[in-house]
Amino acid sequence: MIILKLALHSLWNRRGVAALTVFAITISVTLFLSVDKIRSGARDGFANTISGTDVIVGARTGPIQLLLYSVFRIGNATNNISWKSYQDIIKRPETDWVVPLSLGDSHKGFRVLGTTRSYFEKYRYARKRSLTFVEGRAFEDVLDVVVGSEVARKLGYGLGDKIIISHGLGKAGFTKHDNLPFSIVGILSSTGTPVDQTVHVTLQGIEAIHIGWNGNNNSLRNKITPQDIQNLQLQPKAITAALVGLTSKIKVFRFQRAINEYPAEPLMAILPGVALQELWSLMGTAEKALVVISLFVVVAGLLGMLTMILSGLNERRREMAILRSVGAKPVHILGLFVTEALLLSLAGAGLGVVLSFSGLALAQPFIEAQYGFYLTIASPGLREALIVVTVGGIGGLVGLWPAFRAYRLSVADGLIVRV
Amino acid sequence: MSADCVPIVEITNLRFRWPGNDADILNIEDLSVQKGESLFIKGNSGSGKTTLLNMIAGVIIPQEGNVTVLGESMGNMPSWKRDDFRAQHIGVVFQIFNLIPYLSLVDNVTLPCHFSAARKSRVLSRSNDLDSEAHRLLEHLILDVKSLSEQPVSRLSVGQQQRVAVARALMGGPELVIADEPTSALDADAREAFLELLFREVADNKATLIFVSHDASLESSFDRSVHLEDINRVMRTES
Repeated sequence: MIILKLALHSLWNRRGVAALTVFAITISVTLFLSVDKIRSGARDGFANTISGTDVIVGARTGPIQLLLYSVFRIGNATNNISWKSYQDIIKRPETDWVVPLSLGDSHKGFRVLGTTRSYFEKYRYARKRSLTFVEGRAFEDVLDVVVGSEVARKLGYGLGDKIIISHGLGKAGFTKHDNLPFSIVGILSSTGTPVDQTVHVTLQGIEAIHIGWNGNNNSLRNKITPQDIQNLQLQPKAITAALVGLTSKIKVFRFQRAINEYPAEPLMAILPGVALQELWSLMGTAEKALVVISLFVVVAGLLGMLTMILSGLNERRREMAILRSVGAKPVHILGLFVTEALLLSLAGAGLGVVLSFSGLALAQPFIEAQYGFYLTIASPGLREALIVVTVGGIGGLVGLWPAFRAYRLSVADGLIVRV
Repeated sequence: MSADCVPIVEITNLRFRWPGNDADILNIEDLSVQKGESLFIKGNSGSGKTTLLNMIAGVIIPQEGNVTVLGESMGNMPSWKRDDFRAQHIGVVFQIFNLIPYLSLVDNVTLPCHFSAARKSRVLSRSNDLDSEAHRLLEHLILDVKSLSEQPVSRLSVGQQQRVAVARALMGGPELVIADEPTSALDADAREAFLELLFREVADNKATLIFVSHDASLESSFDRSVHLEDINRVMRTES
C-alpha cells in the first residue's frame, strides 16, 4: 500500500511530464483501437453489402470478378447470360425467385443497372434489410428510373427530373442517348452499399437505349422517341448476371452444380458469402499492415514512458537512499518504479479507450454521410478491457528495466549517494 | 559488564574494502557504543565514516570481522533481514535533503512505520494514530505543523528540514539513531539549537545516538568522542 501511495504522490509531483507521457500512450492506444474498430466496422459493412441472396449466376469467370461487377459495380462482365439461359434458371425446381441484372451503361459516372421490380422486393443488405424509398416508388414504365441516395444527393436530383443515360461507361460516355429522356420516379434511402450509387432502370429501358446499336437496325439509332417505345417489342436478348433465391438452403449445392454444368452456355454460380470472404482475404494484407503500424505506435508510446522514467532515475537516487534508510528493501524500490510504469500505462490505455470510443461516436455521422457506410460501434467490452490490461502489463514489463537499474543503484548507494 | 553498560553496537576486527579497490578503507579493531550514550565520531571526508555508518545500518557488511547491533551480528543476516532490522531499530538523519519531496510533512515523518510493523505498533501503543504521533514529535521539535504543512517540504528551511528528519528518525522509538553530519548545513546558532533539541529528544526516547561529523567544535557536547583517524588502522599506516 505504501508503495502505491509513494508512486501516486511521486507521479503527481511530476504531473507535467507524467501527463505528457500518459498523453502519448493515450494517443497510441486511441489510434490502435480506432484502426481496430474501423477495420471490423468496414469488414461488417463489406459483408453487409448483400444478404438474402443464395446464389449469384453469371457468365463463367472468376468468382471474385463476378462478385465485383454484379454486387459492387466494379469492373465489367466478360460475357452475358442469354435470355434463354435466364428463362431456364427461372424454371429450375430449386429456384424461388430471380432478380436479373443488366449492366454496362452509365449516367454521369454512376452505373446504370437494368433490372425488374423484383429487385426492390428481393434485394437485401446488412441483416436482411430491404430497400426502402425516401420518395416515390419503384419503376413501372420503360422510361422510369429509380436512383440511389448518393446519386440523388451528388447530382441534386428530385422526383420528376428528366435524365439522359449514356451507352457505355465513364462520365462522358461514348454516345449520349439523348433522344430518350428517362424520368425519375423514385429515390432510395441510404444503405451504405453500392446501391446508393446506382441508377436503376427496367430491362426494357436498357433495351430501348440500345435500339439501333445492335447491327441491323441502324436507321433507328438515336432517332427513337418515347412514342416509338410503345410500339416496339422490347424483348431483352441477354442479361449480365442474376441474383437467385432458392426454395431451400439445402439445395444450394445441387443448384450450383447444375448451373456450372449447364450445357448450352458456360455459366457460373457463386455463393455470395463465400466470395465475399475470399475478396476480404485479398484485402487482408493491407488491413494487417494497418494493425501492425498502429501496434508500433503503441510501442513508441511505451518507449516514451521508458525514456521519462530512465531520465529521472539519477535525480531520484537521493530519494531511494532516504527510503532505504527508513527500512525499504531494494525490492520496494523495484516495486515503486514498476508501479509508476504500471500506473502511467494503465492511465494511458484507459484514456485511450475512452477517447477512441467518444471519437468514433462523434465521427460516426460524418463517416456515414461522407463514405456512406454505417460504422457499428459496440460498447466497450471484454476486448477493450483486455487491451487495457495488456498495455498496462507491457507497460509494467517495460518499467522493469528502469526499476532494475534503480534497484542496482540503491543496492550500490546504500544510504549515502556517492555522485 | 554491568546493566547500565550494555553495548548496543559492537565492532570487532572489522576490515572492509570496496569491490575493485586494492586497499582497505576501514580496519577497526574494536569500537563499542553503550546503550543510552551519545557518541561523537570525528572523521574528515574520505576517512571512511560514510562506509562505517552504512555498515552499522546494515546496508553493507564487512569482508572480515563483526558488526553486532543489539546483540545481532549483521554479517550473519541475509540482506532482507538487515533491511527489516534497520526499519525496526535504527533511525537515520542525513547531512542534507532528508525529506521525500513529494510527500507531505507528516507523511515524511510517519514513513518508517510503513516499513516496520514493530515501530508502528509502538506508536499506536502511546498515540491514537500515526499522524498524531508525528504531530507530537514535530511540535516537540518546535515545528508549527499547521502552518508548515501548507507548503511542500522542499520549501522548508534547512534547519526545519533537519528537525523533521529527527522527528522521522525517532518515530516509533528506535533504539539507535545515526546522524551523518546533520549540522554541517546549519549556521552556528541554528547548530546549537538543533543539537539541544536532538539531545533532548534522543534522551526522551531513551535512544542511543551515533553522531558523525568533521566539526571538532561539537565534540564537547557529547558523552564520548572518538576520532576515526585514531581507531582506523588504515589511516595510521598511510600517514
